[in-house]
Amino acid sequence: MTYAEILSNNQLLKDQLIGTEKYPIIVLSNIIVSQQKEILEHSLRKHKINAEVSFGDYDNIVQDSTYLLTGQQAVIIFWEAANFIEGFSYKASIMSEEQIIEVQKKIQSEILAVFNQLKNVPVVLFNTFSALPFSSESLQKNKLEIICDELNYFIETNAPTNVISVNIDKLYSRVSLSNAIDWRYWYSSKSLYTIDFFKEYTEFVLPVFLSLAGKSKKALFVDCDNTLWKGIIGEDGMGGILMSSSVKGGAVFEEIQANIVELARKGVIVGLASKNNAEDVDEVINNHPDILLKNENIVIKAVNWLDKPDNIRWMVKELNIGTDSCVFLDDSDFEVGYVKENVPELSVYQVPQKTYLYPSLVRNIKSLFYNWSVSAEDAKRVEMYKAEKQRTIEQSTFISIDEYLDSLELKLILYNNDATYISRLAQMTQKTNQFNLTTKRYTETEINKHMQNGDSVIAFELKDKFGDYGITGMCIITYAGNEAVIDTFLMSCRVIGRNVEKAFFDEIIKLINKKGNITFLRANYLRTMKNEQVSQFYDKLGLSLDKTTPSGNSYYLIPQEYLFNNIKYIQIEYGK
Amino acid sequence: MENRIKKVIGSVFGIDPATITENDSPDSIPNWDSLRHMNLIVALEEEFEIEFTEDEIMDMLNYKILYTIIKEKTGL
Repeated sequence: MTYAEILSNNQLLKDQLIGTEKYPIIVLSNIIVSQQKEILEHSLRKHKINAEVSFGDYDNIVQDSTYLLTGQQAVIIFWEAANFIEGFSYKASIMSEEQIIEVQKKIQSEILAVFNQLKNVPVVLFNTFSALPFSSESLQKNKLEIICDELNYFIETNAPTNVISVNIDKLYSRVSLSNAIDWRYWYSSKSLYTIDFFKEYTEFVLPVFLSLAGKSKKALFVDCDNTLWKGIIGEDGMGGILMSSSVKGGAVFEEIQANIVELARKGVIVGLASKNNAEDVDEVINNHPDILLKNENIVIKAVNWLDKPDNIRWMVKELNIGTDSCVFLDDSDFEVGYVKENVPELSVYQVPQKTYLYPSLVRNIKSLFYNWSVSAEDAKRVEMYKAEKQRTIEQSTFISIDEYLDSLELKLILYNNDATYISRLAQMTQKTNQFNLTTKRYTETEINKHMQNGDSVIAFELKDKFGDYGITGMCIITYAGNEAVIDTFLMSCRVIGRNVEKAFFDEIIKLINKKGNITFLRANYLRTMKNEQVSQFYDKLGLSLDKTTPSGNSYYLIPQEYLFNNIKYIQIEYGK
Repeated sequence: MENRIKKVIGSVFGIDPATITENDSPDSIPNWDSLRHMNLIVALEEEFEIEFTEDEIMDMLNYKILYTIIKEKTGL
């Protein structure tokens, strides 16, 4: 199905599911993965799970894991190592060992913070770090690969039981690297993956969601001749059928039986659906020297000469489970077609003609039975040894969001009426949609005019210990007598989530108060399609609501009475 | 071909394909923002089995140009 078809089908499925309980999923990422939304929604909605996928802010994984998660059923984390800091994919190779360690420490404490903050979300899908798109095909590992390996080990040993790590390298191997990556958008938009990748990703993680929704497959019905063993018991007899790696042609069937036994031990209901004399099949199960699948693994048998669809319906009824939670496996074209036709809700698979492909088919079928609680059980075993580690971790590296922000060593540099940045400022008014209170678009000439006629055009630059975000926010204040008006207040999405806007606003008020004659400040929120996220901004800062209209709100403030936020972890500096 | 293009645009921006005119652009379709522009590009590429260059992607900001470029590329 093409992406466009998925988009329109998704809309149809959404309408069909109106009234059913919503299943909110949030994606946190430090790259752009916007196409994941509809592809995942579509796949889950096809299974009657009314998924609503939303996104955190770009590159705000740690902050969003504290703020955005009420009611979320699942969190998916796309944390791209190449973008740990801007240009990390190539900078890692020329950074000093100390700098690398610093970055790694930062990421590790961020991972722990995220784990801790997400501990009440039912399930977290955490993609493993991969350097594959950014490494050469050389035998030698590059720095990024080494860092990814170490961090993946860190995740493996520290992840709580609600975290499932999703092996991205396995996905690359399924899609192929060249089909998974679209470099065109990496440098311009920090978007990395193709539609093919997102489709495959969705298939890959689907079993988790099906399991959580109680929609995993529960029963496997298998034919016997040429399905469990090679040959036909009624014709070839006990000595003629093959199911052991020690005989030519038998190895594949030994592997198949081992896989089915494994499923049975995990609680999957295994049934036989075979056209045969019941005694012949029993004889094989009970007495064949090579048989792996024993009676103890088999819950139900329909071995007779009746129609297979009838036998399957009978087993479904006996077991009292849904037909759609059953899987049927047979070698015959006729039976497969006949059963598909008559029991359409059943998942039907046919033994491949090329028997060497049969084991990989069965390995894939196994994922249909994926059961989250089994994995949780497995994880419990690891839990004990983790508990010991936990103490040290919590003492040494656990951080709150404030501590985290503190550790970033944020520095806000303000430029008041500095003509150097005019073109950047004009560009920001043109391009910023989300964190923009009034969305006024200005040309360079207009910005310049504001600077010349006594208004305050204040820009900020943000830095932290890992680098410089550049000029990423601005404010324009106009004056008339004793009154000041905030004409423009905007900030780039890249710096959201660090409370920079509060620190910036504090400084603006200080600047106004320094003027000496301003006793009244007006500010407006003008609603657009895209700036909902700042609709409460002035309320939160303690400004008084003056008027509410459909187009937005107006506010006022006596600047001398303003309560400063005093964000202690943001250091303020003034540029020349 | 025009119908196929409009169908893709309609599904990406969640609008009725019949309402799309040749002057449509991000100014007339509110959902046509930079993220969805990327979605539109990949959807069109998949539909017509073509690949746009970076320059083309930046130019394709209204229906008329978009149509011309696809026509040129596919020869349809």
